[in-house]
Amino acid sequence: MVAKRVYLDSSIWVSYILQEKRNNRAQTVQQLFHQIEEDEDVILVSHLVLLEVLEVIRKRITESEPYTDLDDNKKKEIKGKVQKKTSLFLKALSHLIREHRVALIDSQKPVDQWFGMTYSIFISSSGDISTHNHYPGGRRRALPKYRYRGVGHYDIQHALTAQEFSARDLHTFDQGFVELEGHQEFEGMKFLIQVV
Amino acid sequence: MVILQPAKKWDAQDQREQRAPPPGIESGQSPGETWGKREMSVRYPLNEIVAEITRDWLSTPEPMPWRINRSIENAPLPVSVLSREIDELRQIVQELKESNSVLQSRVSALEEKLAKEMAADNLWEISDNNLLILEEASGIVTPPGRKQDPLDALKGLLMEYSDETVDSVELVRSVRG
Repeated sequence: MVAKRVYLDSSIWVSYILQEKRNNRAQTVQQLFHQIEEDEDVILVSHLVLLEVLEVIRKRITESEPYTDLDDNKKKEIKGKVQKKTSLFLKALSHLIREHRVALIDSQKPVDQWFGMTYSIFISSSGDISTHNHYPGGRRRALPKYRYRGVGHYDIQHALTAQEFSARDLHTFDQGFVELEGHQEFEGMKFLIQVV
Repeated sequence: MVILQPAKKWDAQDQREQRAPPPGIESGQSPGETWGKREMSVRYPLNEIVAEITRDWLSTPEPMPWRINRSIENAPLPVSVLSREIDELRQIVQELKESNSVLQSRVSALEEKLAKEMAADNLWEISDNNLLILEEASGIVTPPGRKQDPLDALKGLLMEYSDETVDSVELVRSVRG
């Protein structure tokens, strides 16, 4: 029997390494990994996912550091922490790849074809416009603002990579992928958007 | 003013090639005795020459224009036949366009399927190759064998940087720009 392939979006990995408490997302991911192990499925990780997760690690560590002073020593200290966590992440991921539990993939399509497909999907998706009444801090705005919500080009490229490698499912917490569901390009692939 | 200008000599070569002597020169005149005189303006000899050549050219009778057989113009135009033929050809062009478009989309679909199959078939080859690239780029080497399940090693790797407000979706969006 051919192992099922599942593509995990960056939000799943970020949630897992941060043990995200919001809506019990970390628990959802834990259950997902259990299921994958039990079914002996293969996890697909793209270079795009890897780079996004590494960038989140870099930003999160830097921005979580309590402010004391900013000099060369402080910069060195923060960079050292980033380097340590990055290295641990890459080592663990490399083991998973070597054990063939995770496959590290990238599109084999020529760049012009790749962008052609991305454009074609992007252009055919118009997104939605809504209003929001609060500032990021939670304070109410005097006048509401319009907000554009639609599929981003990164979402499309994640989905295209997953599709190219015959992923049966794409798991994510990101609602942006909703628009790609049912798109003819992704016929046969399920978008499992965890609404938690 | 009259100037003397040498004319062409009627010489032995002309005789051999049976060229007639120019008018005014009697045959039998010895070669070298063909000096003639032409009346020309001293100031504008070139104008005189051009005018003379032009006069000669104008006096040359024009060739008869081509006789055109205009009988085709009088033939009745088969408009209905032509229209029908045009319609039929247009129909053929349309059918060719449609079949071309169908074939093009079939080729594209097959190409895509082939690329997908190749990528799917070579999954581990691609992955192993990408791992080598990653190790080389990052300088991280993973020797075979391990102390801990790597999936467990990843769990909570950034725990100390997490809190109640963490939103993985927003964090990822922040790096997607």
